[in-house]
Amino acid sequence: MLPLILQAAASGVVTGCVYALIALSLVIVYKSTDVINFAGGEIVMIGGYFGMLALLSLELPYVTIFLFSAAATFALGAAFDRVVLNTVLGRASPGQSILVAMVIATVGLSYVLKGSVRVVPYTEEVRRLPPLFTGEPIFLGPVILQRQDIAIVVIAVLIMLALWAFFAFTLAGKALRATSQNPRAAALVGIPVRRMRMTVWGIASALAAVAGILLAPKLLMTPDMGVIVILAFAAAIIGGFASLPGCILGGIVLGVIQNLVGLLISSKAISVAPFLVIMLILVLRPQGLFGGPVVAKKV
Amino acid sequence: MSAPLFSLRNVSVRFGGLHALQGFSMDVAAGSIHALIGPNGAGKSTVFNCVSRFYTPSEGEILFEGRSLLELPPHRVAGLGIARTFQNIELCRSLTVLENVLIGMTPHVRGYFPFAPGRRRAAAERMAVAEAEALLERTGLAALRDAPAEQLDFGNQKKLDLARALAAKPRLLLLDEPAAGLRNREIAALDALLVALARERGITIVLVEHVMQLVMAVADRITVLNFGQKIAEGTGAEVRNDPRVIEAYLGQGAYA
Amino acid sequence: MYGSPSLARLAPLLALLVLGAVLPPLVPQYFLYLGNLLMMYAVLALGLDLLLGWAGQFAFAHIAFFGVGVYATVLLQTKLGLPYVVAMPAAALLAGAIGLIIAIPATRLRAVYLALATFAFAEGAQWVFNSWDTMTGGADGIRISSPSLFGYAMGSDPKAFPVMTVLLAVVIAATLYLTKSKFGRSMCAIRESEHAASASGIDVRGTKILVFAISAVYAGIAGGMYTLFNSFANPEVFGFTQIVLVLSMIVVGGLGTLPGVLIGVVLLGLMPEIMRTAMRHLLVWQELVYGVILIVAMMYMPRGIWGLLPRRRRRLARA
Repeated sequence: MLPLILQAAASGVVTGCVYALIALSLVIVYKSTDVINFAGGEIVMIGGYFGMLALLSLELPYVTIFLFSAAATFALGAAFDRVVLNTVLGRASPGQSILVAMVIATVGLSYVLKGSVRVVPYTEEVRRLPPLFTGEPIFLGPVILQRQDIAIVVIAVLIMLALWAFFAFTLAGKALRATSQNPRAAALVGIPVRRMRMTVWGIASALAAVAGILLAPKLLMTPDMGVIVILAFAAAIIGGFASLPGCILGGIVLGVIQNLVGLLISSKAISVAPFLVIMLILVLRPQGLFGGPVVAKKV
Repeated sequence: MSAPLFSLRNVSVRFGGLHALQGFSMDVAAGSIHALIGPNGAGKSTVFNCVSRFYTPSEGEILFEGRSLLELPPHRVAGLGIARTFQNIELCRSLTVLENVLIGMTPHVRGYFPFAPGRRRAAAERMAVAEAEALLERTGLAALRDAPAEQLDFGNQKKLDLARALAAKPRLLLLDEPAAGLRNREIAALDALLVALARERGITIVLVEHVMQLVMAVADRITVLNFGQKIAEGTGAEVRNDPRVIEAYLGQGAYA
Repeated sequence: MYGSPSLARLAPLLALLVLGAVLPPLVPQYFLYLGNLLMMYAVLALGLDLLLGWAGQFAFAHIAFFGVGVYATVLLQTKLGLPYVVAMPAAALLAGAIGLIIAIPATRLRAVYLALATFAFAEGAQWVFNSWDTMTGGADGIRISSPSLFGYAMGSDPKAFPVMTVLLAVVIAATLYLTKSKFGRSMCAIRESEHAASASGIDVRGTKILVFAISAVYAGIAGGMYTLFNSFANPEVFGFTQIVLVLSMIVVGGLGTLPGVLIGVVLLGLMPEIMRTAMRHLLVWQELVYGVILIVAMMYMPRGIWGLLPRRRRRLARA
């Protein structure tokens, strides 16, 4: 039994890293703008498709397709913020909450992305993205890992480190953090708030795209791939939905739990597990496993 | 001397490591105007928020007419006869002036089955609207009856916050920085209003305030807070010359 | 938001009832089907609007209660032999009871957490509908045999139509009375400022829980309405797409405004049908068109269609 559990846990860590990337994407947008991005899953999907386009049609080397897809989705996300969300925000009277409208706009985006992909003849054939590495699986004690899986973890970790370094050490990163904590103060010290928001959306979209390419070899590529976003939400909630390191831990915890549930209970239970996890955590410990104590608003 | 209408006994409030209030006690006599002053962050609004039951003190007792408030859920406080205004003027922005006052009147509007017409409903609503309109007359907001609260200028919004509190027919009125942002003319009007409420209507008033002009003019008694602790209490003259108070506001060495 | 709805506001409901009696023999069945569909969506949307537009609670468990309404109405008739006229209200009350139970933990949550938790609940409910084969027929769905009302069989569009108009008229009237009452003011106060509401003596948590339950009852009634003109139901009907559709209806129409919500229901309810008939060859474009409509609507009418009216007109419509 133990080897099976370790195996399940190990693959859980792998999928968890992908969930973590998508969760980071969602939480970065939420922390900066209070918007829940309902199009998160579709951006993952489109990132995967961009990657496939780059690899199979443009015949770029595998490593570059990450950059290609990330750049393309960065532009997409930034454009959405600049064109759509900016306009919605511009129509809000001060003190009025326009959040619902922005969230519906992201719902619209998700349909636009899904619909666009479905319409393009290129996607009529269902394809599968080939994995980054093929070859002999690697043995870590009783655990068997595909090279692809190791690549996923390595790439995900590298990206998280890069993100952390960006936020902690670069001027742009600090400006972004300032904007998300206090947009008015940020504007007053000369930070271009609108451009910061665009950048946040761009970065979040790029993260989702990378996750899409990492995910694509494991799943069939269809326009409906985006439903995976519910798992990313669960991961983000486990991590407290307000902390970036939380997303990472949350993703890994979720991935492991899912696999263990599938192994020890039943495969049918896997699909409902994330929802149960979300409800349980929010009811028992809203700040997630890793968030700090809940802070009340000052009156 | 009769028992105070309202008192806090040894109240302590902690937010994590921060002591917002430490062993704070204060007695307010019925029908008086009592001011609570102190530098920013001293814990003044925390006192009000405890009374409103937004926070629960870790220690201490809060009594109103001999009854402990700490046993009550937040919505019962208004029904006892305690009303308050807010530092940030918490109004229902998209509702009209009249509707905001009607909301303040909630404890006094008789309940009825909301899904259907009926005589109870008609009577309760008629009475509520009539009383609300009378209150608007008395506070000078009658002309703005149907204006959405968000369109009012700052001075009128503050008046509306006060009207909403008065609609609850309070015996104790807690005012959080009522003079903030007001011009001198408006402060003088506020002065007169507070005195009228206390002397003619017998409403006990506690005000948290920074505007000393108002405090010295209306307060019967002043309590001074600093870093969550009471550092002085007394009449305006006593407090104004207290070295600890001067030091709290102006720093050491300022008293000369 | 005080007093009672005037007779002028209630008069259109009489017109609705007249249409209900008069239209069925005159109008082709397809249009009656559309009418039934929109009336059902109207009840669903009004219920969600109470929670989201009036009380300001971002909760998306609504679609689960719709499912409870459908399944319970059918099962109470088939398993317990209850007549429709008893089964439907019972199912609605059951939905309300479940809503009440869910509300107790849910109302402790703030904004985004409330949204995610209730959304998770709705997905969990759909999983239950899919898995509880013995009761719900699982993924294959459940057959709905024609319900009857004191001998009057209702299972077809023309027969169901008048009954639907009565149900809708009652729901609209109840909503008008509810929103114009002390309770309606309390909902608004909670939406705008929980602190002011609490300090004004409103039991914020209790009111939120009640609104949850009431909105669940609306969803349950809509479920009962579904069974009047459909012969089949499967869990697909109670999924993410549906809740997004109802949410879009009330946001595009105008949150917290009764005429706005009804307009949203008509526009976004008819749209899939129009696209299906007008764009039959272009079925695959539907999602894209729908998404563009949502985005454009939010860019130019973020407060909904009703929000475009100058304030005066809107207030008169609300009063």
